[in-house]
Amino acid sequence: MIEIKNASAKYGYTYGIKDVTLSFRPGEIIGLFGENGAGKTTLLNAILGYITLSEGEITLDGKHIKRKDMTRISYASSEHTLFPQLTADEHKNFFKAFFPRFSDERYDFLMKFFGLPKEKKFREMSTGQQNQLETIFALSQGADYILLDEPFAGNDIFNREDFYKVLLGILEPTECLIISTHLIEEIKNFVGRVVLLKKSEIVGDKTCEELDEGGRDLISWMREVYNYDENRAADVIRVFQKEQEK
Amino acid sequence: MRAWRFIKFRVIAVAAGISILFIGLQIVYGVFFTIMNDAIEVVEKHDYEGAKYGILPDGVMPTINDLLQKTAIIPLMIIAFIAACIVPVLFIVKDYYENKSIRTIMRLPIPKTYYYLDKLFPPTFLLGIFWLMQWGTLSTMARLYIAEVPVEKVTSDVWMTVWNYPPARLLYPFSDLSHMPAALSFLILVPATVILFVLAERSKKRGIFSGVIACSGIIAILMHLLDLPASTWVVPSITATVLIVGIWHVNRIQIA
Repeated sequence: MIEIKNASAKYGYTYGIKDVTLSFRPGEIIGLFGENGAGKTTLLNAILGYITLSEGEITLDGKHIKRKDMTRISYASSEHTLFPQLTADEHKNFFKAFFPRFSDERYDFLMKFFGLPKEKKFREMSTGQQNQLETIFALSQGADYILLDEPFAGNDIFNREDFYKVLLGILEPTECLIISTHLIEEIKNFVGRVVLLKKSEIVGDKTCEELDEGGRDLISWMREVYNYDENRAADVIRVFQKEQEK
Repeated sequence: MRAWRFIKFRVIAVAAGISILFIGLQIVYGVFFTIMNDAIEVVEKHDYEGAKYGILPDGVMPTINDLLQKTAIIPLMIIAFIAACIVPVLFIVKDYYENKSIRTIMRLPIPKTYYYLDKLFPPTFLLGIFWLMQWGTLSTMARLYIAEVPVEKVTSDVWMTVWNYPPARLLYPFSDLSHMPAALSFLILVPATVILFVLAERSKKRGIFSGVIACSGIIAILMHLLDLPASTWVVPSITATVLIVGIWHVNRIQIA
């Protein structure tokens, strides 16, 4: 289990995350939601050790996360973090050298599913293909905790929808998937738990069962948590039109 | 085979650097050989003319350092050190700018220190090999000078003279071995300082401390180049500091 206890991280004087307390258990599929700059990526970066916490701690099964534990945590983003000069298969060899639990079967299956070329260099792939490849490696690494940060950028809606279905089919019951995304509508039926971030803090954390028991749906709960004003857009347009009339 | 795949770019870069510097040293040696023979010829002709007419004083053979100055040995040394600075910068910058592959590297299940050593080792190795090759070349030149120049024309101890040649003394202080730690540290200090500067720059505000330490590395480099007495202990101390801060930086400061 990954446990985040009172974690804070700063960028200069600004908090990237502030006093975050969370835990991710094996078998969970978690949606990490929040507006731009809410702290989703910072939270994932803190788990990966890219950034140092100013306060608090992050543990894996009760112990401080060490470098060797990175075999148990995988990560994919839409930032193109793979090596431009290597092909997909060369990347596979690279990952296999460092991650002993790398799954060839899952890699082959996902490469086939996405129709990605194995011998094409990463830099020669389209943006969507690059994001798909990163996601494939995150899922094939053999990690217990899979962190996906906006993994579907550059992919069309059909590709994404198919991908959710495939994900549900291939994930082991012990694997924990944490997805940070803006595409709430698309993954609302796919995640089992939702964590909401706002201005670097956790403002909501509920499982879908809890929402169902309360007779709530995800979107209305999020609107409530974020104090979303449904009339805001209409009010702004009204003011704008009035100014135009003057 | 797996290891080769990951290190082949570094090996190719270092091998290319060593080859270029080796060729450079051969050119320097060739130029030295030519101008030394020319100088011997001039002196012999001068002496012949002097003996013939009995009015000219004996010809003076230029010292080995006078001949070395006419070769391109100093520019070659500068090129070697610039190459050793460029190699790690290119490797690190490649991880950031071509793609953000630094983020993949930084989450591998290996100590982050390896990343630092991976960048430091190639240029240090390159400089180390250059140090040895140049030592061999200078020694060969001195032996050649002793063998070819008539004994009566050799006015000073050739070995003392060559190792006291200022640019050579910075790297080969055989006449005063107390400078040797500084000379050897210098080979590590130059690339380590450059690496620390690049890491500090990538970390923006978080890299201020490392940037300051990198500046102290520059000061130590200048002290060594100016051959200041304090450089004997300052250069090794600052080298150790720059290395420690470099390792601390990759482990503790955000670089991905």
